[in-house]
Amino acid sequence: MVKKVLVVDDSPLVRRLIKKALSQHTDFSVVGEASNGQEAVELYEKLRPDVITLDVTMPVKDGLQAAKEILDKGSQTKILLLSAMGDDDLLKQASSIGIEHSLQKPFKADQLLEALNKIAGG
Amino acid sequence: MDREAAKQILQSFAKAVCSVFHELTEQELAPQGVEKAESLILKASGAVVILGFNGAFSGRVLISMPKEMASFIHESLMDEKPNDEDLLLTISEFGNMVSGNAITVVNNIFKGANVRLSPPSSFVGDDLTFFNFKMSAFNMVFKAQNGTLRMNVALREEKRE
Amino acid sequence: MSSNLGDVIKNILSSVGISVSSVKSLKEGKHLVKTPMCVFMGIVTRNNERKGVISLEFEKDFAEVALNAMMPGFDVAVDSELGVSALSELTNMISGNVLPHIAPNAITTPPTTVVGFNMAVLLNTLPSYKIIVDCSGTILAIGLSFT
Repeated sequence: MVKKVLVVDDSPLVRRLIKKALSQHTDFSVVGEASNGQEAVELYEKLRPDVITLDVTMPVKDGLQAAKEILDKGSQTKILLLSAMGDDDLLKQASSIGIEHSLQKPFKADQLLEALNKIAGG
Repeated sequence: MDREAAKQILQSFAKAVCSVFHELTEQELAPQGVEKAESLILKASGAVVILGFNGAFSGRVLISMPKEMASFIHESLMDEKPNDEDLLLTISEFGNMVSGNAITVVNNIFKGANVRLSPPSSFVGDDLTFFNFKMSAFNMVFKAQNGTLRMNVALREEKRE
Repeated sequence: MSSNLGDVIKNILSSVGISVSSVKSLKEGKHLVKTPMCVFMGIVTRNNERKGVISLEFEKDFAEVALNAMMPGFDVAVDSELGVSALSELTNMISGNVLPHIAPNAITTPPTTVVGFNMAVLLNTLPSYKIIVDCSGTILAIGLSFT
């Protein structure tokens, strides 16, 4: 079954890269993209994606805040945190919210797919 | 600034730029050495990205490269030739990844340092002049197939928070 | 941006001898710079929840007016070390007074000054507020982009 992906990153370049990586694979379909945490929460409500790729530092609302709001709703959506920073404190913070999977930028397409397959159970 | 801490920070940036460049382009960046910058003035042409950081260590990193190298990075990622706006965004993201990787290592080595990065600022032009004051700066040079990348890291030590 | 910030900036400029004729503000899509001289600093907060950039953007004529006001009689060249240092200090003063109104727990990264003609500059991909100050017929823009 094709997994629906919501791509969230304030960098248009990174969003394009992720979409490009996923366009080659039939297991995943990008159903929406957001450039900040607020948009991410709104699009989650509308689209109910299976997976969200989520940047951390974003305007309006950051990734961790957005993730908390989404997960607090009892969501089954899996979140893959993507960030240029990957220090222990950030990962601990993410884990305390319920995010167990992350990938540090830059990442290759096959690394992204491997991570998405792992968390989406695809 | 403690000499050993400065060395760790510079090494983190050097490793990060080589690693990120390779991840994005599959080409090698060969380090050519590091030297203390004697001048407060730095001249650059091409594409430049600057990020500041603050925490237990404060400073900024400046990465400059020829426009052709920045175009090559963009083309490696997007399979298309960039315009100037594309170059600004690409080099901005490049700087963000390099600095993010470097500062991650710094924060993991120096527990409690809590160094945070400011957003990347990018520049494209010929004959750019940058000035820095009240900081020790180090120049690092890296060679790739399609040009030379220069990194200038300026540091000062803040009080631990 | 509130007129309150305009007053804060006006007071700082006046305190260093730079007279201000008018202040207005506008919002732009990204934090771009169109002037050949710029001093900017990164902004971060202690728990990393917000970040941004603050800038002073100007032409050579404002720099000359500012240096003349701050160091009367010294005839300092705008691109000399002393001149650039003075303009960096002005940026420090303005950001130090403006930021507490926007983010009391914000701290800045060291200032960088850049000079370049025909350069393309993107200080931040976030939308920016610009406060445009007319100083004796020369223009200073203070830019702020912040999450």
